[in-house]
Amino acid sequence: MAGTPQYVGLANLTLGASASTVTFSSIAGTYRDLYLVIAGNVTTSAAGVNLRLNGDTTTTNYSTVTAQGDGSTATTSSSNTFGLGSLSTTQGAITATFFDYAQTNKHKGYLVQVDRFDSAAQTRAGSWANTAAVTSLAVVAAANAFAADTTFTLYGVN
Amino acid sequence: MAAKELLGTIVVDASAPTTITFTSFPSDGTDLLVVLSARDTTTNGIVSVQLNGDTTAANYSRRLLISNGVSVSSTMASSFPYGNIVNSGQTANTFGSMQVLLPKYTGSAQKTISIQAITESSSTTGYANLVSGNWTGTAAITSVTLTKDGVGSFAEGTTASLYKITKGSGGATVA
Amino acid sequence: MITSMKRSLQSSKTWYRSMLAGNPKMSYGAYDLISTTLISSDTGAIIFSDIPQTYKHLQLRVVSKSRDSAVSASMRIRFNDIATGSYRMHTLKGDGLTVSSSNVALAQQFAFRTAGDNADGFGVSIMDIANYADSVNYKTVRTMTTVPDSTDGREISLNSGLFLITAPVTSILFDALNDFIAGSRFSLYGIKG
Repeated sequence: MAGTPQYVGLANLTLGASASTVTFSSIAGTYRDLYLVIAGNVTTSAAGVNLRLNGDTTTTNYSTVTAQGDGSTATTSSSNTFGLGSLSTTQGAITATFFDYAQTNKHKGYLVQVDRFDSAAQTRAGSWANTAAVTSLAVVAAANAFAADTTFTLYGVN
Repeated sequence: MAAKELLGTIVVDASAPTTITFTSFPSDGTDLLVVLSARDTTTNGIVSVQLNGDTTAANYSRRLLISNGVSVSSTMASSFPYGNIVNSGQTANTFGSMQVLLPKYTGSAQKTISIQAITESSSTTGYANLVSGNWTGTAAITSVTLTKDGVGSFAEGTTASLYKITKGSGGATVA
Repeated sequence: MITSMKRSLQSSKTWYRSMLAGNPKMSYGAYDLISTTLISSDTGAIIFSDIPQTYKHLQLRVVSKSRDSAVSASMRIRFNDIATGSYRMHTLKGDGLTVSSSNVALAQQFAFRTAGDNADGFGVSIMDIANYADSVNYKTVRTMTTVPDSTDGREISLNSGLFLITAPVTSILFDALNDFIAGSRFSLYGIKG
């Protein structure tokens, strides 16, 4: 569709102070996919970053599989939790694409790349076992907090 | 307003350059993305990423997940993040595909370098890299260099494009 | 282009010769949606044909599930309707138990993974085709794919593919050993460069 931006910035937040949860809400259902970029760190020691779609805190509604290299060993793992990746006290990034987020006929799949030069290069995939359209997306620093200056950016892709 | 804009493309000619550098790009974006299609004139097959002309290897770190078509491994080093590209010993007329994401490129903290790269050939060997890298510089990124780091050069037909990704104006809530 | 203008009797107005009226050109960005197919009933094959040759790269985003009675199923992809031994692939895969690397010898198509009928959800893929309109070199494909599931069979992989044909890519066909299920979606994007 020439003439209409297909890759659109929706929302962003740069933390002025540490916080444990950042939520994008009232997400319009007019795009095809969402793309999330988290760039920054957490305040104290490495921490998992958890995903909440539509406020769903039931871990078993999420499933993930990963492949990663920690600098010496390549490994893979899977779990039924809402883990999106992890950050540490040094700079890192998590980028995630959520496919067909506004469709109501399928579970929601997502592809993630987790960049922690201090720990591992990781790719991760997940699925949220709910057919509802995603209208809110939250990320939570588990037992920790995102540090000030960490940025959260959400894009819509047509 | 479109979030992803092309800033420029460099197409390598027969001069066999050893670096490809983007400079003088706007500082009003959020992230930078480099898309590289590349081939090496030698059998080296590695391209490194350097920022702001910093050629000091100790200012960088990398951690890799690598597969070669037969096995998977992982390495790390205090040196330039890199990705594999197709080398001169591999199938002719074939180029590797690599993308480099530089999030928060105007920020005042150290910089994350996120790389995804593959090579291909009509043989058993084909590399896939996931690379998590870091640059200790805290200045905004003003130049991005893809370099053969003194070994080999870029073959004619190599292309590199730089994109600016800009955040939107909506907000988020914090708890 | 405006070639002439008549002044009104109003004063204190700024006149422009261009319809931009002093504003910068609107940029629609580097990323164009060429076509999306969202199937509403089981479908055997999806084809993008007559692909414009005006971009630098292509990206495909696929959300798919097939009628194969498995968790993970094969999704075959052909360029330019070529079904000869012109395709080569390599894969890095993690399935939660084993991380592995593999290569596939010359084949009649690419075969990446998607979700089968027994998977909990739909498989998702992002595929990048660099310099697809090049008429001198072979075409390289980089793909991230995943098959989701809450039990066995889930997997994630970074794949590469080589299409050993120098002609520009003008069509892309997807099919599964059995039909794609309703709700599957295939989107083709052009990326400027």
